[in-house]
Amino acid sequence: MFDINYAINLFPFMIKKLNITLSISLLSLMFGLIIALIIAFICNCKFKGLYSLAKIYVSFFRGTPLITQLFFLYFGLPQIIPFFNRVNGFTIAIIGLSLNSGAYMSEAIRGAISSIDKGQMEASLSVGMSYFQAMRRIIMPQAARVAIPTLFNSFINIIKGTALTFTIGVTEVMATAKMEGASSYRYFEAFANVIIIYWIVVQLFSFIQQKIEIKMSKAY
Amino acid sequence: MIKIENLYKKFNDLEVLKGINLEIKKGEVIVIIGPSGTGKSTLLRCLNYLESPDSGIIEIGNMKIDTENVTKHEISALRRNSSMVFQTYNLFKNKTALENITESLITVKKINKQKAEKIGLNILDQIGLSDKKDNYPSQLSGGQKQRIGIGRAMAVNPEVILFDEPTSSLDPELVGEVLDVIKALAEKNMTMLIVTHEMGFAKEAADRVIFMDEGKIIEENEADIIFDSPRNERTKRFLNKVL
Repeated sequence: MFDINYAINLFPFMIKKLNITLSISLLSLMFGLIIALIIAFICNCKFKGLYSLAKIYVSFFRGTPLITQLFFLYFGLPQIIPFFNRVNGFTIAIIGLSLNSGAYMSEAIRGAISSIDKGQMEASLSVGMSYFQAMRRIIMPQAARVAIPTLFNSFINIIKGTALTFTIGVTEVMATAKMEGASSYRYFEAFANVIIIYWIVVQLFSFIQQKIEIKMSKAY
Repeated sequence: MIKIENLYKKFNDLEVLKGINLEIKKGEVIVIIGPSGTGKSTLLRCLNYLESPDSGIIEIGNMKIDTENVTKHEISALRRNSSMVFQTYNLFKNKTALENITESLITVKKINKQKAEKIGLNILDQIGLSDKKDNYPSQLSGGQKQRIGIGRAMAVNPEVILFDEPTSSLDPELVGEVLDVIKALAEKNMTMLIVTHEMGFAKEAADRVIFMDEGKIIEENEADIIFDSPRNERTKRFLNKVL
């Protein structure tokens, strides 16, 4: 039967590993957003050459499973490029999740930018602003409001995606559960804990999302 | 002061401007009339380089460019000499009324915020919207939005303000307040190029009226002469229809 004491005692062990999960998530979100912004700009400006590359990147990372991307980076690449032998699972996890979420978020940002009436850009140019000034001061602040719900979705997917990184040797919450479960044969309690932890973390960020959305909808 | 020579513009196969020649003196108010689809708006948008002309010379103030051979730098310099008032206002939605006016002062002219606000408040006073300074565009009526649009164009302190059908999307009872602001500007010797369907306004405020049809200037003259005794057949037919 469900051993409540075992489950409760296991909790602190897993919470300790939460910092790994959260650092992978937040770093991947940060790098993913940077990638997404660059890709969205390339797609928006239709830079020749770069545009096709960006399209291939997005279709590749959206069109293949995250776990195959992680395996490819962790097990595949070192065979071709020896340098990757020295890169640990933690780093590969961040690279993989950043590239993967970057593809999704770039679509969200691109969509949000193109949802902004083109009169906003024309008005900015007509008073003498440059393209980048217009983007920074007028277009992006408006696009952000449109993109926030979708971006938070991507962020939640990143958090949940970290559960896959135990397969490339990262000792995060999921890996701890697996190891503890294996040593005590109490898989039920171990994975129930994992589910609860992920659920609480995601709820927490959903709450932050709500607060941000309310704040932004008040703005104008 | 403003000189346009042989301006041509095509959209794919459609020739919209077929050799426009026009000179505007400082302080002149020019109204462009004509049937829709004759390139009136395109002409204004070319002057502000929201559309790139195919060929021709544009000279505004101290900036003269050959549109067939133009650099990015020249385009932005030319743009700084004019500003535009749009049919659909296009106010910056994420900025307050005052910020809409001060935006170009702060980002383009690099004037510090306090000084910019002082200029902005002065402009708001001129357009009679001082009490709306902290309102966002979504909280303003159409007429108020367009007056802010004019205020934003004034802040640039341009050689010329281009008006692209400024009253066409307004409820009839709101047209007057916008036209009053434009008339007040005319009295201050602001150079203006106005595309409009408000014939009464054209007659009253314009120093010169230009009739355009099928991408060409057909006739230009003082307002009284154009409206009372147009010389060209096409002008006559158009005015008979709209007056």
